[in-house]
Amino acid sequence: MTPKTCLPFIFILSFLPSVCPFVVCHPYCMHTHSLLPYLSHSLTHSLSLTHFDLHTLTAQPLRVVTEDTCLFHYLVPAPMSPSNKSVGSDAGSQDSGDGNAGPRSVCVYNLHCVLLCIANLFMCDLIFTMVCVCRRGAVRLGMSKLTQVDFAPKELVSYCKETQTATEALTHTDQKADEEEDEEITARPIGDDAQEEKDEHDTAKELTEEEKLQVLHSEDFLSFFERGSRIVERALAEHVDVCFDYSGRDLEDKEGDLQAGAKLVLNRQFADERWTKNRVVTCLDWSPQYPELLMASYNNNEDAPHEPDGVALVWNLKYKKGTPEYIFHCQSEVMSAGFAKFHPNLVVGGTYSGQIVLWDNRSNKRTPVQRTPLSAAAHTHPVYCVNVVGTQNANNLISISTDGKMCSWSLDMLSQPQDSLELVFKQSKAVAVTSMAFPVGDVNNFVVGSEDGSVYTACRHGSKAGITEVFEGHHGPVTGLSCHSAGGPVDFSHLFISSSFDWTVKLWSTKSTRPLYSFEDSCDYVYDAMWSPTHPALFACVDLAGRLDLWNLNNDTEVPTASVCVEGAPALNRVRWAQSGKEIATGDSEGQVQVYDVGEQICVPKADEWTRFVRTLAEINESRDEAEELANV
Amino acid sequence: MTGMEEYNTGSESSFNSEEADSIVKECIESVVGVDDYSQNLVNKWTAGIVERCLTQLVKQGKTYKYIVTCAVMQKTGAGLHTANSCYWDTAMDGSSTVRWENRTMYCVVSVFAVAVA
Repeated sequence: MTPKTCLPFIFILSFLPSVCPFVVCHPYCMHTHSLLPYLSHSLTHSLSLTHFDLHTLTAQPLRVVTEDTCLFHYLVPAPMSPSNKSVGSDAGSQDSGDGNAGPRSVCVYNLHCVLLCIANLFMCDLIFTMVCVCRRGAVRLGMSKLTQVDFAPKELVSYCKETQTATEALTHTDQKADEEEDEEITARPIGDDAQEEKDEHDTAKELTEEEKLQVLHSEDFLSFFERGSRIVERALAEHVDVCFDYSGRDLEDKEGDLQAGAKLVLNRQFADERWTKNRVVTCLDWSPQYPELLMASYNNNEDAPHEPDGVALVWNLKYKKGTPEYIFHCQSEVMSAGFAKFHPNLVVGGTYSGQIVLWDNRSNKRTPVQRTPLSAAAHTHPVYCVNVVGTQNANNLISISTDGKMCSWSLDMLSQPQDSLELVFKQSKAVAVTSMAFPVGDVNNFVVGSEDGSVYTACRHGSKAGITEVFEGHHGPVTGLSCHSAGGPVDFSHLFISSSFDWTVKLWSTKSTRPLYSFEDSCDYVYDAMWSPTHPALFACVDLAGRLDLWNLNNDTEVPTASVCVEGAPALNRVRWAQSGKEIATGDSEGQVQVYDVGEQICVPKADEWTRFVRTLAEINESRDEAEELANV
Repeated sequence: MTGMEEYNTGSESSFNSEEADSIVKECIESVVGVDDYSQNLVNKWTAGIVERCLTQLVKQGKTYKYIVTCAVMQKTGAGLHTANSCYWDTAMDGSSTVRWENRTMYCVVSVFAVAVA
């Protein structure tokens, strides 16, 4: 038994200063009457006593204690020096106490003694512990290093479909009900009851100014008003000549003939005093679903800092009204925009801040219904190219920013890109992309034009995802790219054209890294070029001098077939063919959008255009090879 | 009082945490391995891991008291953070914490070894 285990016994002993402790506590003694001397003897023997203790002990004769004495008195130590204690003692950890005071005098202070004993016990134990500690010596307690385990929370990507529109208010039926009520009210005063009239007047004047304002600002009213005003504007702008005579007697002047010969005629011009003044058109797109809808995006108006920086307007060619069909705006300049190809209600915009915004014309909001986050996972540089590629069921929104980062998004969820890719050329040079084009039917391979004047082909998926090849030829930043899109008997989808600040438009084939041909008719920065969607050999380009050129390669590759200069010669920024191939929209630096009708003799391809184009291409190739030979020689 | 029993005047070197790491990792893998998180089985796993770790550690034969804790958390996107620290004999005692994860769950096993007399 260690000293520790004996302690409880002695503790109990202290509390029961009568017969019990003799029986209970002492492990060695079986006989109660011999216990006391035995106890005292064992105590003295079992404790390895120092000279100090021995002296005190042997000097004292052990007395017989009566029942009412505090037996513990023997065991209570005087405050003693702890260093004399040793480990292996069996009995209590104290010295046997001083027997100085007579038992009789002690018994008066029984309780006092008990408490003292207890206190001493604890102290002794503590001291004993300390003794042991000091005895051991070599052990040092210290704080260990803090161990931490961290698992970061995963950002839950949530699908947030915010394009759900509010339930339509039954404005028509309400209106009808109101009308009916009005009729009733007017009908009644016809009756002879003056009292009734008064009542109706009272009920009619119920709405106070406040209530009227409230009604005017209520959501139902606003949505009705917007729809209604659109319809009314269209109706008011129509200039229908109801007196037209189909027999042709009134047609004296042959305007039609003149127009028949004309190649490019200005059809409409769109501008809005509030939304397009002082802004530059940054992108144009025709709606795939409704051929009369044209979307134009604009950058910021420096003269109006409180107006939103980015504006996208949808213009309607079908009606003569001069105001936009839909007005959308956002906080950052819209650098590129387009109708989402497989979602006819959505308009996608790429902005200067790198955010991609989504507008929905089903909601009544003019601000975007969805936005991509402004984070390093998405874009942090201006997004100059946005495009929806794929099929009805599997489509992605592709966006490329000027730092070469390409992200592909799902239109349902713009909170994080599905995929992102850094477009770097030869592992080091990031490509500053200014334009992008996907060949028809291809969702993997595409071409990009960059600020350094080179055109690159790249692919999105696969082991070689990223830049594949470089096409060098331009001496200035590439501003526009267009892949051949006219479908026909022969496939020309390997052809694409690029326009650049170096005054040229170059024709390329993806099969060769050198340009096939260079069109050098322009005398200024060429800002955009686009193949006709119907005619295989026709493309349009616009330049800074306000010129719109139509090139028909089957006719002539040296000069444009048709050319028109926009009134006022503003710099033309964008050109877009309509899906029909019969109209061209151009946007300029004054914020105006012009729509030209192309003469049928130019824009409608004849049956042999494709074969002629094959021949033209062969000629071009030949002349290029010859030129190279000459150069090499 | 209790401090006394932990001291080891002992002859062996201090706690080898790398060895404990490898033992624990092996135990986790053998109990959980490639299974996915399953509410029905997770109790069995934690008990199994703790018991196995303990038996392996005791098999080493060193005079240590071991405390093994095991936490299994399903991967739902929440974060988990734990920390522990001890005040003991830095020469003799030691601890080791093993983080393990698979596709559906995290498992954190901590082993504390305290030298015994």
